[in-house]
Amino acid sequence: MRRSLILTVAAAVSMVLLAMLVPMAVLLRSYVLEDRLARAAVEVQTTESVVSTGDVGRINLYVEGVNEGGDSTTTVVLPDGTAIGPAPDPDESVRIAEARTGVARVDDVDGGSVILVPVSLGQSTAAASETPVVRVFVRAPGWEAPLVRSWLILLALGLALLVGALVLADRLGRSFVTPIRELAGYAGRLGVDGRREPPPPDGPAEVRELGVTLHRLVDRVEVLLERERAGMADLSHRLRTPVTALRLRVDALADPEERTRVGEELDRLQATVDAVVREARRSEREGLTGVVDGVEALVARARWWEPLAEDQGRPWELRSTATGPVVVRAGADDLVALVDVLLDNAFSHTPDDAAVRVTVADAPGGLSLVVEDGGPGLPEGVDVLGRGTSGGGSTGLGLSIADRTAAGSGGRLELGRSPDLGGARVEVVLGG
Amino acid sequence: MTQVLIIEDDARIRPLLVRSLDERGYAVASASTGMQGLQMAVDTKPDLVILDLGLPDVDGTQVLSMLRAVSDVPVIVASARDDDPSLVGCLDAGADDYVVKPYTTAQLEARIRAVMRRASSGSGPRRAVIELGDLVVDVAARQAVLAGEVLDLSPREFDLLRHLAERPGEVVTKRDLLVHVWQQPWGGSDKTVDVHLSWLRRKLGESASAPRFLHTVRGVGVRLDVPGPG
Repeated sequence: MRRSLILTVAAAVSMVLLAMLVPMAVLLRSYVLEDRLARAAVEVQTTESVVSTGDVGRINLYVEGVNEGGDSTTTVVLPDGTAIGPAPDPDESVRIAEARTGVARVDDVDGGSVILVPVSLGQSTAAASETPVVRVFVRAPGWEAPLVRSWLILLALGLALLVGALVLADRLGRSFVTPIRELAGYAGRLGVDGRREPPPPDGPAEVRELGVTLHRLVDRVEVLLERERAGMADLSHRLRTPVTALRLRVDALADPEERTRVGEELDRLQATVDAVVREARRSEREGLTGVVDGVEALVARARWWEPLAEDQGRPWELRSTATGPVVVRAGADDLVALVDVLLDNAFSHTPDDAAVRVTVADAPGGLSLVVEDGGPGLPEGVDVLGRGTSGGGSTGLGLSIADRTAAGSGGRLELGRSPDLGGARVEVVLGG
Repeated sequence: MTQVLIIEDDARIRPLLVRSLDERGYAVASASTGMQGLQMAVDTKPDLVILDLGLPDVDGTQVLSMLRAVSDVPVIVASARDDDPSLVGCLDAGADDYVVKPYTTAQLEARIRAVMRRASSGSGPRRAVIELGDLVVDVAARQAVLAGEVLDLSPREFDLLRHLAERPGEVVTKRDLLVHVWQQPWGGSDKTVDVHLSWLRRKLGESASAPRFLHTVRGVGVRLDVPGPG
């Protein structure tokens, strides 16, 4: 934004300066030419008075003196065509002839202007053939030092204005960008490393308003999260307290068979209550942002299982082909639980010497986690994702939790057989 | 006879607990509010207090803090709150153990026995130090030291080590560990226990194939032995 503002100001100021300085430079050059023509007119008058004496020697001396230096050259063309001073261009003969008829003129020629003035030698109506002409060539302004100096002053002034405008634009840009950047940094850190103090309202009114609105929003979300946390604690208390009472009542049952049977029913109820509480706490686990770097979370948790593989002497491979951090829509705790569920299944339902491979890789729009093993594979004909069923006799909630984590992130869970290890293959695609 | 004070507001649980523990030979008194329980703890000086956190008048953690200001009585917190901050907060505030609802009478009684064992070990429950050769487990400081080096243990690893260290030479089943260390009397995975044991082995400088302290008893559980000299 700051750069755009500076570029815009640079372009606008440059255009204004060009529109102002170029005409000024041209005007300046015109003034110099006007000044030279005015001085040449005075010189013509003086020359006229010398020529009117008719003394050729005096005219010669005068012309020599006049032509030493200066921005103009004077030539006196006598009636017989003799030129005293620099000879005029042959193309000028027509104009000189016309001037002899008594009409003074100023013509623009290459490199400047020519003033032609006929000189009366005393007769009231002089014949053209008896009229000398004073010719003064005035050079057009070129790269002479005074004019160039003036132009350089103009240019320096323009550059100073441009630099000043850019400095002002930069400061203005900073006043916009710095508070916005601070707000963006504050927003980015929210939910990542705990609550941070919001930056003080600063910058233009709109940015200050944005900051205040963001602070209000964050406060509101935190209040809602806190309220939900309290609600969850209450829910947990309200669900688990009666289950505790039931447990104690079951313990008091005299008949061991009855105690076992009711106890098993209670186990299932307990598992359901735990699942309900866990699901209800999802937003608490996900925190303010609900996103996390999936690569780091998945790889770190998979690595956590390595010591067990080592202790068992189990072939173990952890591959991460992800090219960098990949943000996925899930809480860090959910990703930990996801890896735990998949690896727990792989370690629990395969022999100790069966290989386990974990692969974390980029996937279109997210991240892929694949857990493969060299065990007997997934049981056929059983809905292993369904609640309360699994081939291993457990509640089966493990894979259903993994499925929910995948679906919650906008991804999916796929089951199959590992082509090279031969056992189960579970792929979880997490949406980013 | 061990005198137990139960501070629990739930009218369904309180009488059941009183009866269960009474049947198991404890002298049980109960209070339904925090302030009443605090008063009874001061007046009757019980041997152990079982404290619920969700009390109607004062939060259980505040009751614990107030109780600790006047008494060293062992306290087992029994609560439905299963989040780490609640658990760690209570242990830091002076609770001797923490059990998550729902629990069984047998589980609660096992914890009562463990806490009472520590309390009667001489130096008091919060100063208990278990020495097993060159491994020292300071229960109160929640710190383990091996050959003079402090071990970097996670809270769960410390609880696991502590549970095993309190039973040297005894085979502890994974179910028992899930119940007492993970607070999961139902469900839970053996492999979770196995991973933590593997990490604990690493930190103790040993492996499953060359154990010193932690010995796997295949198909049963794990046993912590004090290694001989050398």
